[in-house]
Amino acid sequence: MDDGPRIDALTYLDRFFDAVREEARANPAFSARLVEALGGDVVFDAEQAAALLNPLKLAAEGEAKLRGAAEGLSLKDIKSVLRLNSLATSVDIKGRSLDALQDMLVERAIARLGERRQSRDD
Amino acid sequence: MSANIAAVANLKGGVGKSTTTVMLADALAYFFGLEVLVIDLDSQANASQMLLTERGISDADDQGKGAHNLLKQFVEQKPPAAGPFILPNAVTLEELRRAEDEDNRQGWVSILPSHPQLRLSEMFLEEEWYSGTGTPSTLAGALTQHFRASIEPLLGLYDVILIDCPPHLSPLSRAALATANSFILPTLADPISTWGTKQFSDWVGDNVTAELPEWSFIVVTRFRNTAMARQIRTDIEQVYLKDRFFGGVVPDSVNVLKAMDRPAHDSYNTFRGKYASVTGDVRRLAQRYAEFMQNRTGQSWTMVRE
Repeated sequence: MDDGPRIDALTYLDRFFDAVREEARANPAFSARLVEALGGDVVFDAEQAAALLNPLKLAAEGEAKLRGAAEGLSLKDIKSVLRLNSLATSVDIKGRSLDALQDMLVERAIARLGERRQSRDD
Repeated sequence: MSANIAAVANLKGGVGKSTTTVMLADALAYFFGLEVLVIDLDSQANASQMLLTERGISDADDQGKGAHNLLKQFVEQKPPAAGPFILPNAVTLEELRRAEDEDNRQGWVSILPSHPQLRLSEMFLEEEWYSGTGTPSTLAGALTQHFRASIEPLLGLYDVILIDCPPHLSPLSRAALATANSFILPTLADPISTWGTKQFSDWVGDNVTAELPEWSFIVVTRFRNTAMARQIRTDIEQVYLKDRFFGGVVPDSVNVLKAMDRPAHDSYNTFRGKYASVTGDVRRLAQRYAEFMQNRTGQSWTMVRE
């Protein structure tokens, strides 16, 4: 057994949760994973959405949820979501309106989800 | 135009056969303006997935396209013809699509796609064939005749036919190898892959063609620039496969993986957008292949894009 300083259980827990809280504040991706692990619905800040939103996961949870998330995104962010998730190339995106890109995000995420599900069923 | 038929093959899986097939198809069509046909005989259908997407494979199947239908044609003893099973548009590059729209086509990619059904069709065929006096060798021979006859009318339509072969030596694979008149052997710069490539190469040399050394184009894929990888690459080039044409190296890169993931069946990208930081490597691969073909057949291809 280690001969280090003795700290009571509550102090240990305070330190542990302080560390978790600090990481969750500094790292939105960790924060989102934490909320998901606890069974909650992750709410994204507009600024974080592009980096954290997972269209396939939202599509699996229902089109309405995915569309709701898509409609909350700015033109810049929705382009970013489409590209980060390999749902569109810069050629596909070029010159499209926000509405068109929202539709593209919803349609392509649902289509990809369908493809993968279909593959598993084969 | 009389197409050269190249089998992209290796006994070992995971060495980048499908990736090399798609890269070469894109680059030969884009840089040299060639008409390229990809024949995907691997039932994993990775090359088809990269060019068409999973939905595209499914749509192609619905339209009666695909290599499993060619096998069915053989089983039903119908006249050999691959044409009806080819999807004439497997282009993913914006430049090629745009040129076609402007009636100024310079380079095109078509595909005889695969489907997971191919392996089941092959198993069914093997069971039938072996239930009589047939052997794997007689089946490979009969399939070779069918493939050659079914491709024959297409030779004037394409410059290059790339056959993505499955990673084993089934009668179907052997027929693909026997149909080809050159071999593209992708390998990794690691000891296991090098050994496997040498074994495969020796087997093809003994059983398919004695001219194998002059017919082989070696590509080191997923290359990581480590001391061990550099040493093995040198060994492949100068010792194990020294009498083959060395096609160069494609680096291990996340851009390669991204390039192979087509977002949707109606999605296009520019060549540089698709290949990003490996654009130069893919161009060099095509240039080396053009040099190989010039050495091998005297055919000379001119670059139409830089």
